Amino acid sequence: MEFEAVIGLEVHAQLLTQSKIFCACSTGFGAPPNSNTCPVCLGLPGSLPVLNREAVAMAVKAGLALGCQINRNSIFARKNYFYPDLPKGYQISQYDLPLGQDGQIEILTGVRQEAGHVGEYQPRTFGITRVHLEEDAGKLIHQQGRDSYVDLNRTGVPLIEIVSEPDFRSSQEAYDYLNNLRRTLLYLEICDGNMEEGSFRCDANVSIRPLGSSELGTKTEIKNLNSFRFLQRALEYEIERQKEVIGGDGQVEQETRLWDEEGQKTLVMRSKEEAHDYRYFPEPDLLPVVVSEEWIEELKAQIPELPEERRQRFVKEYALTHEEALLLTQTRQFAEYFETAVRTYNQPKAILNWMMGDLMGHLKQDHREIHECLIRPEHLANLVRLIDEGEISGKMAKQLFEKLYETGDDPETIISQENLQQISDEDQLTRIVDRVLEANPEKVEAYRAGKAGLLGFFMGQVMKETRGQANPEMVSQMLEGKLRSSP
Amino acid sequence: MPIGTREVEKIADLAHLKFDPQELERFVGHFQQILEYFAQLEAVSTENVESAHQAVEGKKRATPTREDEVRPSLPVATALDNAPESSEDHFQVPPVIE
Repeated sequence: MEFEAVIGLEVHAQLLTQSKIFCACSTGFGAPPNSNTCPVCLGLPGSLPVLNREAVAMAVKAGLALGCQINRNSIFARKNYFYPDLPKGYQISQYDLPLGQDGQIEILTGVRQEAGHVGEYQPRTFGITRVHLEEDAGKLIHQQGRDSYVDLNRTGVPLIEIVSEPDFRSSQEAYDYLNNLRRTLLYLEICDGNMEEGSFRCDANVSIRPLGSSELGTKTEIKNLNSFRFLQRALEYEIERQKEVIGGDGQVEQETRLWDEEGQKTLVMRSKEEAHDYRYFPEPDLLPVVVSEEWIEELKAQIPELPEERRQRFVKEYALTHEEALLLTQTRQFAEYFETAVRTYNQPKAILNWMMGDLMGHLKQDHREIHECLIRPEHLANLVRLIDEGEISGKMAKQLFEKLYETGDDPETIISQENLQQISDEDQLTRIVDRVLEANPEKVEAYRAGKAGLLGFFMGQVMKETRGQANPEMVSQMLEGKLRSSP
Repeated sequence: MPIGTREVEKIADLAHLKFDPQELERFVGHFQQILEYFAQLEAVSTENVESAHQAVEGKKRATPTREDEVRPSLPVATALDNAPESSEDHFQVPPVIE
């Protein structure tokens, strides 16, 4: 029997506010343990939460960007459970009436061929069940067999939870959705999207069913998916595992599983917290969150062109492939750098190659972001123009790039300072070529006697004479012409 | 909904509470009283009445908000003051994972 996978994703994203959601403690990452705490986030009796307006604004923007209906009145609820990372014994979250609901996004998603490569892209629409606001829990430090430590700095950091419909039919679709969601939050500047540090976390619900069936099979929940690679591998593993269970006349158990990267498999999570009975009830300490029409309009106006729109526009406007456009639109800064460069000199492909090659390489090596880089997009564009106009050779361009990257100066200044111009003057080159040939009469004889490989030797001599600045194409043509003709 | 000792035990378990059989019986009685009271409320017609989540709720009652500004937190020693056990600036709790 043929099966299809049914996958839904639940994402938790930390919002980039300065202060926590219900108190004025800092949200700064990496502060000394328990130094960002107060009676509210410690859950001390008698303290009361006061909502951070900016957290609501960010969550509304996320909801709007994901096509959600924004509820003008939404309700906070208490989700009750006991765990040492939750000092109050409940998490303030949303249940009945979330801030946003019933959204959808249309993205291009890859269809993979048998070899595993993405063969083509197709537009697909994925439903967003809800976007709601809640507070993060603290951090536990476990020690084998000994007491655990609790750091409550993270307690009360604002989170949005984004729940998708079970609309993904392959790990690739889930991957493309998650990637788009992450880019969207980055573009909105409401989350830093760091999966390793846990500011962007993902859980997946996975089930399988016979192809063509509309009923849902029993699902498992997979946690610990803290990178895109883990997500894809864990989903693939879990889909295969469930196929084997059902193929062997077994039944999939509804359970929570953890991705074990080392063992490359999902494992059943055994925990005392399996009692999924959170006894939600409306948070009595907070009145409804009211989002006015005017506020929504104001926030709507702040939403920039989103990554998927921009990606599709790049494909059309600059004749790029989907992969290229995807790479360029990873972050807003990167995309804007590209567009500024292209406005300066309209050669998108060449600029893309420099950005993805030399520039990315250098940035990665120096652990820098594009906006921290000295070389201006206009300068990079001019570098490409200088190559096209024959002012500098490809080899010289590499040298020039290094200088641009180090100094932030414009290419023309560096060329004149470093004397980097390419020599394309015919008379000047003729003189040099003649001098080289005259100085090596035996080699000229040998060449004419059939040793064609000596052309490289003459090229090298000319380059040596000109400190690498001779126009290589011109020199090569001249040499061939002069060597062919008898003296 | 009929309430028995099993339901009370489950709720007590979720709240990390333990009761002896007599106490459980007593709570079954309390729970039943409460539920009977809600059953009485069911008799009231709430047609055309918007559902409320808080007693003070009204059309204009929005939860107050604050600006996103950081204010000083407690000194770590003060934050840890009520903890039964602490060590190296952390709250210390019995092992969570075996």
